[in-house]
Amino acid sequence: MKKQALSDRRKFILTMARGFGLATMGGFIWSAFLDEATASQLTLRPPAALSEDDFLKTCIKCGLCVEACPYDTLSLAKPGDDKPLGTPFFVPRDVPCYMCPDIPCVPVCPTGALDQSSVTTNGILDIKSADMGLAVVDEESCIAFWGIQCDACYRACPILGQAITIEYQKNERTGKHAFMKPVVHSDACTGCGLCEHACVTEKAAIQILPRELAQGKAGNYYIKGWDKEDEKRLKNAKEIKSTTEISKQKAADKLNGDLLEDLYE
Amino acid sequence: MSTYRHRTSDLADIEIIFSPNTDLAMWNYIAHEIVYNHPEAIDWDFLKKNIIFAASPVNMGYGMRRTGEKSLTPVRPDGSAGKYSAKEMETIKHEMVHKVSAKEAPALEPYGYKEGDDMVNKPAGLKHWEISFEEYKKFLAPYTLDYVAKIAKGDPDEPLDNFKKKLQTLADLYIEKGRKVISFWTMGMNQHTRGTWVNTLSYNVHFMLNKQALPGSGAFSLTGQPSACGTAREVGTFCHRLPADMMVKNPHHRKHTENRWKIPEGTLNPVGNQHIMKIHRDIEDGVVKFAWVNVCNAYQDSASAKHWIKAARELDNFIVTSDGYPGISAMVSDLVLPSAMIYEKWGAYGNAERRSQHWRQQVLPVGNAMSDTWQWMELSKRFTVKDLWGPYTLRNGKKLPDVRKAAQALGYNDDTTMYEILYANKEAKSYKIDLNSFPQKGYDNSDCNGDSRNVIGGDGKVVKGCGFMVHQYLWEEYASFGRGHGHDLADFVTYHKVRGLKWPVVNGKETPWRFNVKYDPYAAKAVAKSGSGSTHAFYGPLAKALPQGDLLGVKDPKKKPLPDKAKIFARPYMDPPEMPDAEYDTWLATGRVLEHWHSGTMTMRVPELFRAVPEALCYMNPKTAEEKGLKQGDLCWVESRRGRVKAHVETRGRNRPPRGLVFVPWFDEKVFINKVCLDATCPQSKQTDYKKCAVKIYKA
Amino acid sequence: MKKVWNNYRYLILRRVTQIGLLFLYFGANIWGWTLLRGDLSASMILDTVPMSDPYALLQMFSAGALLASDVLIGALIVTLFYFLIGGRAFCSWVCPINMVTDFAEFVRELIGMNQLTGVKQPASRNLRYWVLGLSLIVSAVMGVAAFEFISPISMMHRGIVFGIGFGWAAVTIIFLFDLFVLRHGWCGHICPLGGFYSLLGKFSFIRVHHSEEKCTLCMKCKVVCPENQVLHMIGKESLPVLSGECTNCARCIEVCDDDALNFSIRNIMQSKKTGE
Repeated sequence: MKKQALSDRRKFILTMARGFGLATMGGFIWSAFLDEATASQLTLRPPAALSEDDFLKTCIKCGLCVEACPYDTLSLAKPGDDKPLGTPFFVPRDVPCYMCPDIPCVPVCPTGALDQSSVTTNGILDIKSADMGLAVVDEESCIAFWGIQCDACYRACPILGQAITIEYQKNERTGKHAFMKPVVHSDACTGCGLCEHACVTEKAAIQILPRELAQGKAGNYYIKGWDKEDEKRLKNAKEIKSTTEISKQKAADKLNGDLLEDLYE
Repeated sequence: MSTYRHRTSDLADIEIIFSPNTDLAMWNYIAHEIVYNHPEAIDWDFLKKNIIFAASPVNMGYGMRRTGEKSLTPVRPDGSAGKYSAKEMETIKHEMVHKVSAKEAPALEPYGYKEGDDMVNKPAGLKHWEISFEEYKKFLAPYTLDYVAKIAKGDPDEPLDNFKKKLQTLADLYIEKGRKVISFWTMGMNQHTRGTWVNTLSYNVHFMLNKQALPGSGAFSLTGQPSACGTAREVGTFCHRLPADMMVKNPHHRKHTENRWKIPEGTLNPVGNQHIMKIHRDIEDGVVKFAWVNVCNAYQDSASAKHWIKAARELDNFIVTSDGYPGISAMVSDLVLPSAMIYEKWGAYGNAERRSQHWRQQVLPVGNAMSDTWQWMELSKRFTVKDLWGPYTLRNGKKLPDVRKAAQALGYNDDTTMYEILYANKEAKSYKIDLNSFPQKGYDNSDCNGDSRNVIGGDGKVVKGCGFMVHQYLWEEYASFGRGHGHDLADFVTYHKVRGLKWPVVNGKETPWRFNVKYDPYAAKAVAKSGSGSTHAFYGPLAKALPQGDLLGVKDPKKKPLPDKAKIFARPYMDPPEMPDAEYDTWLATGRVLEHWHSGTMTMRVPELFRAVPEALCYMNPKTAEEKGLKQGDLCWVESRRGRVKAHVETRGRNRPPRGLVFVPWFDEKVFINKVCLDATCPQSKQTDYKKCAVKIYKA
Repeated sequence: MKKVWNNYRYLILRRVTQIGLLFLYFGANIWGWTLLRGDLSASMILDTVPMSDPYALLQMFSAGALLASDVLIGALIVTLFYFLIGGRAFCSWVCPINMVTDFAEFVRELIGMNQLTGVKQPASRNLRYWVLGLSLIVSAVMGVAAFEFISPISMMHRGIVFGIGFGWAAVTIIFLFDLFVLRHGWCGHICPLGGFYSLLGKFSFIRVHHSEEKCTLCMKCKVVCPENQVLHMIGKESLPVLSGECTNCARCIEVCDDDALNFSIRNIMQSKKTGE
């Protein structure tokens, strides 16, 4: 049977369709890859970094922040590092951020992915307002919780006594010693990681985690009755409506609903 | 109370930051408060029964080199002298003549000195004499709150009134009736050019208030690094010491020792005055040609380090170091011997509360290391009576007699080795090896039995040990000196059953508070004998008869006995020999950090400790950093007249000095701060003052 | 020596420029040099003059980023620069991947791959513009600069300056692709950065000019040119190479024994006259 040659119009439409089809296929594959590749949540960014989503948008991967750091803290993620490609990060256990008062890594960022205004207080650079992450203590592997005096993390902290304090508690087992337990205060901690770096245990018992991961949220509706300032929040509290399965139906519908039939059987 | 803020200050209720050396003034201020403003707080009954007042020379120098010493010769027109630069001589010259400063003039006024006077210094040893209470009161007159606060305030940014209030509170706390007070100190008061003085000044206060040698009250030096007490102080390895607090200088003590050691009378060298700085200086002078560094790191831990290292490396001498780790001393040595570490051998130590503790060997030493005891015994095998006990002329011209004939009378001949006499003698061998009973059962003993490493000894044969329980012998021989003399120790085996005992151990009971009749059997005995009815007895034979005088000197040379009495010393505030000036404008204090032990040879090799603190930093006040154009984390030079080191600036660390002072710990070989420190010492205790010298800081 | 210079002078200059720039960037990271800091995405000359990749910025704009002035000024500077000297001069004179694909082409010739696959290109040269457009759409949808996260160019120059990781695999993929799958495959068909610079270079002032009267029709230029569709005028008309797709690599100038090809400042009036 003789195959009929395609008309020019047919060819054009088919070619166009093919083009769009390939583009769509390529686009989906590309998008899927990007979704996976930018998904790493455990990456610690340089100080003054925008929120991770905005950071990934804005970082142009130039490496100027990496070169500005006098301590070789930062690296650009290489293929195989399991972090968003080319973006700057640090691993505190290897090299922490040394909290330079003049924050050399931030002013050099050309795009503003490192936002200088977020580490400026009253017009002066203030590394203490950086938020790179939050230190978290694993109480089972921290030897201070076993009763040994360590406080290496406390003493390594560059804002001594603010981000980490030592809480004393009687050691009932021995009866004559005190626990000297490190406690992290999230309002002061900058996530620099000097504590994780100094921690003497084999795997650091105090580690820096991104804040979103490390912190929970109590929710607005918990008020500390013993705190006068917190009580004030009740004054202008707005109503919050929430539903569960059984509260989804209107009262009348509920009363005349399916459950009624089963009540006697 | 400190010259800079640190972790201990963080835990305190009140923090007092004072200017270096003014601890002398502050202790006298408290005494002044007691005597002038709260005389009702003085326990006169206690003082009359137990205390006398004493004075000593103030012009005793600062323990530095003196004119005429080999290494200070020749003196050159540019100001340098011998091996010391002109800059170094700026400080060293104070040792001969020191001009009284405005700061110290009021305190020296009772001694007849005025500001600008030349004070000619002479070594005075431990010389002191009794004075009256009135003289002591006269001595205390300058230490008013105004004077002391003015010179002692260490933080230039603290308001003077604030500081005065704190001093006042401090005095009130001591004086408060019924309040128990313990004064704790460590190296700040001991490594001090007037360290002996300031220690006694603390006792002054406690004595006057009758708050000494009582449960909860007393002055207490929190030193007693176990080897310092157990190895050096009590046992008598300091060169001027014999066991049980006896002194080499005392011929009776020497005779007693010679008898006990079964060596001829007259054998022991009576010149017992070779403290560490003298050894270093004599090596530099070329008169000492051999030194053996044991159980310390003398080339890292001595101030003015460059001088001693240069002398060790360049002059004709032979330096040996025995150590567990290769430190700086090993680096400058001609021979390095590996030493077993603490639990790789049987041993014992003491500590600040007089607790002697023993342990058994827990593990075998590493490689071919052997204990220091074994090394000393091996050395003794190589010297005979003929080698050592013939006639000998000392450097000072004095002659040691030929005691070889006397040795024969004791049963030795010319070829008897020191080993046979001192270690492998009849008495020693009576302490047998018994691996079937306590305490030897189940434990290695490399010194006595050899071990499975089969170390090859100097004779080419496998080391099988000495074959008798030498540790027990050494302990019992040492203990025999003190029993019955207030230094009673229990027997060797007992110490392996208990967690240490505080000597004197009398009738199996340890002594918790010494000199207190209720707790110390020797004090009880002394009081029973004297009938004084006192609560305390400060027994002990040293310097228990003194001539009389006033602040300026001895007036009646006849010695009055003072049995069972302690002394309140009149000792004034004086400047240290080097203070900040226009060129070297910052105080340097050195010390330690929690994570590292001494020179870090061991702790810098422990991964956890190294990780916590990998390097020594220069802790400084952020304002000082700013003044000098330094940023947090910058490298800076810390430079004195003697040398300089580089360190990273730390303005936020655990140590937060006031403006004008920096602190650098000495555990880090890479930040060899002892090159910078000054080798001035307390002329009496001979300890170097590592806590104050003058430096300049600038960007590296 | 003179022959080598004659036949390869532009190639030598190109390699010197490509490697020299990479070395300056490397020196900034390793030794703290300040002449040129950063990488080919964004950099600083002497810590004062910014430069940045305008294509990366386009993607970031599509993704919805708000950008600071330094990077905008940098992009403006780079855009203006390539606007004047020829957009795809980046490809021949700066891009490190160019060294890889040129090498692949060299091996292709050596082992006879070109004879195996023939002259006909199975893919369209316009594919790269589709990729370019797609990159901007995906950037908008996914909220990140889509090409920057997969660019082998970035992986290679960042890899040389800051550490390669598995970037060598990406470079190898490009090499193997060009060697075994498609001649001039990456640079000539797929790379959207090349596509971007093609569009930018449409109005460049420095162009290769053909003098038809000197041409002996040997066609060596067309053989050596990686984008030989731009040489449509060879032997036919004296025209400048006006297509933005020409990378100003000057291989054609080097191989022409008849001096029929040369660089010149594009004569706008002339081109208008001849109706180009």
